[in-house]
Amino acid sequence: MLTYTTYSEAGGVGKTTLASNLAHAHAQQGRDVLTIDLDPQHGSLTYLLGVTAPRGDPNADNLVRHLIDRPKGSFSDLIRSTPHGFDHLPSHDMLANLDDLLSQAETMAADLGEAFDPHNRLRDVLQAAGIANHYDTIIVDPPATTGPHLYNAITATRSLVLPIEPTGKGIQSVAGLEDIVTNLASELGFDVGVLAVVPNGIGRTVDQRQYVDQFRELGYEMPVIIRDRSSLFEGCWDKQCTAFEYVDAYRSQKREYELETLEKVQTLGDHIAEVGDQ
Amino acid sequence: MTGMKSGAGSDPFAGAENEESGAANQTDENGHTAASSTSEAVGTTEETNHIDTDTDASQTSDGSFDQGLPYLFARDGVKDERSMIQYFLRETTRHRETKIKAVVEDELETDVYLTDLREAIVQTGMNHPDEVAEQLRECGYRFRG
Repeated sequence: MLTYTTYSEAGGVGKTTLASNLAHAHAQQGRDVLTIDLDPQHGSLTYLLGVTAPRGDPNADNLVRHLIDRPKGSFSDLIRSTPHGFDHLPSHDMLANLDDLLSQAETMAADLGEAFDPHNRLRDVLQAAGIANHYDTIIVDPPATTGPHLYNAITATRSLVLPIEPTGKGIQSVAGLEDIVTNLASELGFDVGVLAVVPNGIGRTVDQRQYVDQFRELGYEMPVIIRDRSSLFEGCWDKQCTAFEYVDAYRSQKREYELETLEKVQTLGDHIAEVGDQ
Repeated sequence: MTGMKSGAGSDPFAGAENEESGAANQTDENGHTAASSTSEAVGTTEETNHIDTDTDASQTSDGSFDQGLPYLFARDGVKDERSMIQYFLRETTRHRETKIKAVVEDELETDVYLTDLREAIVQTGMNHPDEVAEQLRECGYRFRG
């Protein structure tokens, strides 16, 4: 089973783009992949994958209803197939109030004398649905903030892939995440692994290269460095597809450096599967 | 002590009995519950520096018994009493490490934490300084001194 969360503290470092492309790379490896979108923003993984789901309708069954133990249907009915070779569990607007909803559910469970761990709900729900029997790879994409989304993502996956921007802020965000993870891990009593740190959007300036050296010193695996591919990744958002599909469908003339980037995503996917599968 | 480490975290969907028996699962490399194989001594950097000959020689020997228990059982987590030292290993060394880990696990008939393995490798080297010197000669030190 390969399970991980893509996370970065700052938005816009390609976290979601990376999640979709890794999912596609894993699918190409022949893995059965499920992506889970925990980001309440409309421009989230669900949008990028072109998955339509009734995200604004509070009466429609959705992931949050399952997380707070008020489902309206079976969990497997929430999962959508995508044209990208993997399945997806879409986001819903209720995720924006996840903190409050979990607290309320926790209070209610306490009144009823039931066990309810608000940081362990995603894992509970996935386990109850027997998700490990249907998928061998789960990628969770939480919003770029700390909070119950991230905690649930980490608890359910226990491994991380960290896209990181080539700035001092990027280094700091990893240090901050180490604190969060250490606290969370000792609270819940499990281990959290970093499958890869992925410098993303690296230009050719000396400064940015120096940051790459600093990333190396963080002590995590850094199998690839992804250069600045704004045009390619923006194209993915524009056409709601993965980079593999974008290059295939929308680049009449293949650009050598973009093919290189796709190869790097595959290399990264191979590395992650090798290190993270257990 | 748990924390963030390089590599895979524990398996969130491992059997429920693993979850509950918790610390009894000493053998899992990725440590359910309290154990963590941490980034200490995890030489994940891909630098091709030569071997550091001045790595902390004052490491206490590892057979140390605490309250009558071997270290493996006396500790709360794999980081206990260990401090983090960064290693720079060549790719080939790391590949060998993976192979050696499998060999050692076969020998012991149980999984071994990478952190434990690495310390044991260092300690074994410390017990054989002449072979360490020979290794260094081979990597070029014979042309020095």
